[in-house]
Amino acid sequence: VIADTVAAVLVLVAIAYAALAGADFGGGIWDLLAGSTTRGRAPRERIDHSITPVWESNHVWLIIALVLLWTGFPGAFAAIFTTLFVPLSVAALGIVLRGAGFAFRSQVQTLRWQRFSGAVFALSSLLTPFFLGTAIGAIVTGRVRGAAGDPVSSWVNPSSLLTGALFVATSAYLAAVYLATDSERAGEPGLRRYFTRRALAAAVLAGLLAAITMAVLHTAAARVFSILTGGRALPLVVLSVLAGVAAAVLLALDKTRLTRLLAALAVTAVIWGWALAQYPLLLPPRLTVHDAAAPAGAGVAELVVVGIIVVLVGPSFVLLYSLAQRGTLSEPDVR
Amino acid sequence: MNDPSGFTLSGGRITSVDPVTVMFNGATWYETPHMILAAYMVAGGLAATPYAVGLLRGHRDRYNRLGFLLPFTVAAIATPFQIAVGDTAARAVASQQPVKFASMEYVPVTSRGVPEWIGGIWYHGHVVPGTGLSLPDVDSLLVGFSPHTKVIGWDSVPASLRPPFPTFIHLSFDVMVGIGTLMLLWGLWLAVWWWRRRDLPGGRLGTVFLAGGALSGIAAVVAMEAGWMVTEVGRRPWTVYGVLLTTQAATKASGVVGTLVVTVVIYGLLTVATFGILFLMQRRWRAGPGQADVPVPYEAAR
Repeated sequence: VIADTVAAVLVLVAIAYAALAGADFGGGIWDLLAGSTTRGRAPRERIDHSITPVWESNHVWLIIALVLLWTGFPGAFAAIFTTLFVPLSVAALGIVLRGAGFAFRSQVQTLRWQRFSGAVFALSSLLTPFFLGTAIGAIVTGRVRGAAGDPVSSWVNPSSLLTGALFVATSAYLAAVYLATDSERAGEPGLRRYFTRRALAAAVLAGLLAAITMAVLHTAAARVFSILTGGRALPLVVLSVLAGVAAAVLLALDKTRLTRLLAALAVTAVIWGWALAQYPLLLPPRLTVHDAAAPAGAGVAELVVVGIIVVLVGPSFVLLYSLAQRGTLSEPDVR
Repeated sequence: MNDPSGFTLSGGRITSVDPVTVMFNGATWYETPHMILAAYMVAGGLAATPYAVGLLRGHRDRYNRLGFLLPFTVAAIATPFQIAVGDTAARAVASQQPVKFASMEYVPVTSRGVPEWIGGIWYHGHVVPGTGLSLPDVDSLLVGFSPHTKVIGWDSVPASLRPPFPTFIHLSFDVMVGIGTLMLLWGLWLAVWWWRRRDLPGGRLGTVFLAGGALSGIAAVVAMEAGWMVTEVGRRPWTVYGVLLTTQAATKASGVVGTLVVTVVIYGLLTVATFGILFLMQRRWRAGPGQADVPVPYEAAR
């Protein structure tokens, strides 16, 4: 029961990371695609304003997830990190360089260096979700088996690469939806339409990639596939598709209310569905949550710590987001 | 890792864990205060540094005096407590990790009446003559308050279980203790002048005092890092003392060297960039408040 609870918390934390930090990565992707310095100035400014107050704190979820994984399921952690050290190292470097590029961009003075550090930020925003996605793809398709997993073929295969692409498209979709709402709130209808178009394009792309990934999973991860498409996880998949389509329809009708919630719901439902489909396996094809769990004492300690985190970090996040949404956090001289 | 406890090992696997005992183990009660006090000394010294430089340059106004006095006093107050905690910690290490202690203090053979070495380079089984000062019986005195106290030497374990580079461990320890002692002297110096004259130390040696104050930040960082070297290198070859060797703990994955090189290179570049940015910010602030704001992404600099 303790191991299951820890695993459930791990999934919840992963959802929070995907829905919040995923959107930050997506912001970087749209920064990358915003075009020349003059044409891309307005959207880049919007992205900058939306990400600045939250991007550092959103990484709290990744840190909690890593700590839960290595203290709660040390054997699985060792297997994942020794097999997948290539994509995970690239993702970690991407996270580091992304933060550095973003922070340095607002400090360097010349256009040349601004463009350079901006490019570092934008490129790492693309690389990080892609490589995290390939790692998840490798786990789902059962390529992480103890420390003997192959460091290359474990993640260089169709299902892993597709999952990586799906992560990128989903991040871009989430970001565009959030940014459209932010633009609306900031009274910039031109930018709202700009991000709405991109949200729709990303939604179509993410939908296509999801369909192709599912088709590949049919053979690569037959058990997960059958539960996702016909078993206990089916309602969640349906919910995810409905929420995603509803958000896209609302956006197409130029409505921004509720779209953010719906987009986040689509991501939440699909992650929860994946977890449900894979349960009780932590690392397919064999290692279960129960077998991978650390001794009970460690699990109890983790749950206590998670409780403390909820009490301490929860209110801070509520305050941060409400301040960010009211625009209280942007510097007066920038606006 | 220095005093692992609170778990049961059977057949190479940990079968039960008591998190409270793990966290509050035999080394917690001295290591935690030692590091917290070190943090106050580092923060105090670093915050005092720029104002000491300002005072040295002759800007002896309230701003620089206050900016120096507040953080430096914090560091100075922490120092005597730190020395007391560190002294106690060394005795605890002597009993919990005697081989680490032997490397810190150059104790090759378990014996009584062990001398305390100040400085000294260890080479081929002895200290190179003329490189260090030996105080007879003092190490035994420090460990057990008697010159006859038996101190365990590194001959108590086979060579494969001794830490490498005793010279590095011993000199790091000396650097840490030496800097701590200087910080204590500087704190006393300030205390005496403040008590007698309500002023910063002046007179002919006033400049020496301020120069020390200006160096206190870097010195505190060096002392802290030297202390970490003592405890971490001194625990080799163990990662978890007495339980897990570093060779057993190391990853079996390939690509360790490549990952390490990439990490070092990238963090090196980030370090350079960070100092570059700080330099740019300093130049901008010097130029005046109007220059402080930067145009949002990608507008040519004015």
